[in-house]
Amino acid sequence: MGGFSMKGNFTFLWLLLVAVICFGLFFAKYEVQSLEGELAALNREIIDRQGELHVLRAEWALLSRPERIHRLSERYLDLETVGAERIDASGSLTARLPVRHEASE
Amino acid sequence: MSRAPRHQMDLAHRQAIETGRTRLVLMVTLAMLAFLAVGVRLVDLMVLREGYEPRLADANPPVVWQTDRANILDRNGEILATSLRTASLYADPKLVQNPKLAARRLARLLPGLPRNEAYALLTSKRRFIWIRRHLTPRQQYAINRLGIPGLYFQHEERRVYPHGHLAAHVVGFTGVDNRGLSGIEKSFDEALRNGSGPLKLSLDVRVQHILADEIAGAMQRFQAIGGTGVVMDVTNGEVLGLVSMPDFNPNRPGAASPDAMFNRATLGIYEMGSTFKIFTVAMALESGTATIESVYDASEPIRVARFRIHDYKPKNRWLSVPEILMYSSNIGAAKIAMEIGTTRQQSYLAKLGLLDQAHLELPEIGSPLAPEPWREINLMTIAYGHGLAVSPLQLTSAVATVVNGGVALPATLLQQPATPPEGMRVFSTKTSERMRRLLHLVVDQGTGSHAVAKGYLVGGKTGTAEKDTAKGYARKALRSSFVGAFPMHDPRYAIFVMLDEPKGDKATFGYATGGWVAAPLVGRIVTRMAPLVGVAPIDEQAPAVKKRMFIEINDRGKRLASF
Repeated sequence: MGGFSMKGNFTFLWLLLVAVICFGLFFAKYEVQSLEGELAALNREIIDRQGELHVLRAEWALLSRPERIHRLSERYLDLETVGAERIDASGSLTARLPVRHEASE
Repeated sequence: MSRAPRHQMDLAHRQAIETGRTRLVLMVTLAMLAFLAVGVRLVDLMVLREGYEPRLADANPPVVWQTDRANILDRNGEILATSLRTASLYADPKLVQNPKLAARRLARLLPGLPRNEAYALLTSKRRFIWIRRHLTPRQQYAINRLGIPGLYFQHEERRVYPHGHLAAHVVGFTGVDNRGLSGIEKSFDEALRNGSGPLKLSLDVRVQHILADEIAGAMQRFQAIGGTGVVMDVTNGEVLGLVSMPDFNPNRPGAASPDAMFNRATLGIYEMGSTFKIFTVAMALESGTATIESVYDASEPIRVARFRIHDYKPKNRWLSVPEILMYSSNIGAAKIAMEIGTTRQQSYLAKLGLLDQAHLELPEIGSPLAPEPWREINLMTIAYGHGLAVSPLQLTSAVATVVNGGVALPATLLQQPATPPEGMRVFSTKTSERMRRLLHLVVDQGTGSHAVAKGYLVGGKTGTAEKDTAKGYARKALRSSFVGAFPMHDPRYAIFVMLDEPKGDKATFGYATGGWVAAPLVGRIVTRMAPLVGVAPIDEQAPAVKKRMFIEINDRGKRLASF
């Protein structure tokens, strides 16, 4: 009797295991499917954004062309070409500073 | 007795059962072993992790968005040419139910498409007909909203040049089917279409703009019919700017005239005039036929055959080599050349790349026009730039060779790797060093004085050539040019500019020569571009700089003449 009941328990355990695995597999499959859908959507979006970036880059090139910047700066800014007399090496600046730190050494 | 056989039978029976059981156990054991093996393998595959297996599942990376034709970029990554996706509208007239209404609605949305024309298209007998190529996104949306059956969109690509006419001659343009028809678009057509990524040029749009802006301004001021300019890195042959005017808009190449399409900088060949004296002097110094101290009699014009070689502003005395360059003496240059000789002149000009077609990544390259046979008169006239026609690009390359230490480097429109390319030595470093001092002298005290750009130590040579017309050389039609480099103590960039048929104005006292119209351009271009390309200004009055640029003019001729 005891043997029979143990055999029954055993079968039941196996059936339960199979049920759990089936459910798990089913669940995982659907999870993967939905993730794959999400991935595809993201990939599509990445590609769309790349296309938009491409257009924006072209527009930026159009808006930042030197000819236009030149025209705009002439109209709105009071700038002129920088002459050589206004450019100096960064090292030579210290000589012109009122306080020289080397003196304290 | 009865037991024995029974026992025996029993034994046989038992034995049979025993055998059966043994076999059964064996089979079951084998089967179980097999199942166990499968089970173990399953656990191994599903539960255990192998070293090579990634922690996360790998998905295929998204397909990279790409256009059919790659971008063309300048050296800083600015877009010179790109492709945009557009929609084109086509119709299957058989499926258009109410062509009259559809035509009216389309005509309202598409300017330039009259109603009757749209109606004709929509009632055509064909099953496929283009209504309009390259719609704007707004137009596409509006047409889509009409919901007319039988109208369809086809996605296409359109080549766009954001910088318009700037660099049009370098970049070129494509046809309706997006095949390159000129410029880089043509010479790299295959590479641009096979999806190998953007093409990076050596061009710098900022330098290109400065060059174009100055040349356009000068053309307007001096009413020139054309202009051209080249900026080249003398250390590696990279072309940073290449301008030919008049130019065209590559977005609408159909509207351009042949004159505007013509690339004067690479396809045009011209007699360059006095700028060739640079090579004459360099050859003489290199081959030892003259030294800095040599003097030549320029007191009288030279008569050869039916020609008369004279000076534009004759000094009528003996001139030293520095003076011949400074005052641009044709007589002096011709006399220097006579000592060099035809063979050596030819050989040096060939090494400078002035006798063969230039190598540049453009389909529009002109072949130089050299005299055949090369007589003595050619020797003399070529010494001051007449009788040999070369392209502005070639001249710039050759001047780069003279000042960069004497090494000829192939000109290129593609950005070069950091390691300098190996060139061919034409002049010794000593000759190059001398030439730098001489070219600086021309700007400091000679005909090129208007090219001065404070702080940047410009050196160069003016050139004024009378245009070769059908009736011989025309006095009034000039090609005025200047070729130079900066900074002269350590040259980085060579610059060439030329104006075609400039007319002098009040500020130039009516002069339209290279020294008056082209040299000032170079001075301004240098001042504008030097901070952008990272050339630091120096104090030209500093004793160290003065010493490096010092050259003995040796005006013994002056004293001789005054005797």
